[in-house]
Amino acid sequence: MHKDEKQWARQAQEGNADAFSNLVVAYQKQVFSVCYRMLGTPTAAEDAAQEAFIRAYKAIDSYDVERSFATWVLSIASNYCIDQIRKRKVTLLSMDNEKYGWLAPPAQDPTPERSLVEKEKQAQVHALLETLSETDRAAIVLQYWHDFSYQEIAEALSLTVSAVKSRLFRARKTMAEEWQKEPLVPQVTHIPSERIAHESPTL
Amino acid sequence: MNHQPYETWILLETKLDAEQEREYYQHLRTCSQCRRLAQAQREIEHLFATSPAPYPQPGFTSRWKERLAKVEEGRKNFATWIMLSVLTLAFLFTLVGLSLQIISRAEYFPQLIAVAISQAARWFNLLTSLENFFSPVLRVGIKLIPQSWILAFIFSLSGIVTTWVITLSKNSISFNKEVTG
Repeated sequence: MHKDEKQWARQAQEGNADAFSNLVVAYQKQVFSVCYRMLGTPTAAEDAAQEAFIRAYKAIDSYDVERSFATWVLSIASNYCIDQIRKRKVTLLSMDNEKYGWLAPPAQDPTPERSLVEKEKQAQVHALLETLSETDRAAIVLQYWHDFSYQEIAEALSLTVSAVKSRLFRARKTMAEEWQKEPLVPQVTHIPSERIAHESPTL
Repeated sequence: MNHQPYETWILLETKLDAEQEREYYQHLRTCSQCRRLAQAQREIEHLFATSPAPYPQPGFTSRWKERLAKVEEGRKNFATWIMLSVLTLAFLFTLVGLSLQIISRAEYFPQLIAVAISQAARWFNLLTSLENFFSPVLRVGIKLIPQSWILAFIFSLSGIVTTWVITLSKNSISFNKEVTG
């Protein structure tokens, strides 16, 4: 953990909301990423990420500054998302524009072809994650995209290390089986046929 | 065909020693199911590694601050409502209690009035007796105390009161500055 972040966490524990805002700036992408992978839509992810930070702010007194803030806040975010999925049974693969209309960092301004590839990849990722239970999904998200160890996943999701291994094994097997089924994801976007003919023959 | 421990090795990315690795590849050569599983696992890992990282829209922190302010305001409003509700309930209970008392004692109301008057008269008599007792003591006492002591006492008292007023006014000014600042 960065020295400044420890300082911010300590100041936040003393009631300094601005110090906590610095932590929000530093960790917003990671928290948003977990929520997006878990819930599947940017709107739901934004709401969940905001709520996760609110919960973290309220519980900042219980945070041990000697431990990783990322692990702590991502644990809050993933548990919140698990609760949300259980409550609302969020469907990951509803084919609405809201979901696939927004995927990459806005500043990157990808080319249409690249954008299409990224959308398809994102759709495949969501299709795979959708096959998993909410806890298995959280374990996979924390391990693949946030490099959590088995121990960290166990602590974040209140499981034993052996339960985490068992869940990861089952989740990967489910995803591998889904992956072998063709096609995994329906076509998510359409590009004009003349564009296909002239610019992207492989598509 | 038995696929263990090869499935576990594939799916949990187990680190293998040289002997296990040789055994693993030998199994893959003969088992198409494990081969497909390993291939799928590799492809999924590649997909996850190359899928674009989702980013929140700009202004995330500002939106979070607004949300926090709303939450805090809601919490304060809730506390105020709780306090008001408790006070209202307490007031209502007192009112109901008093009404019940009055209703239950309605037939004895004239006696109650008489008791109250006699009690008040007793207190008045007590105060008069105390005044009668202390007045001569004070009149004589004042004459016995030296005049310089009385002056010193009056000066000290006014000094203490002045200091107290100045301190209070200073505290009030600094508090106002903190609030407005």
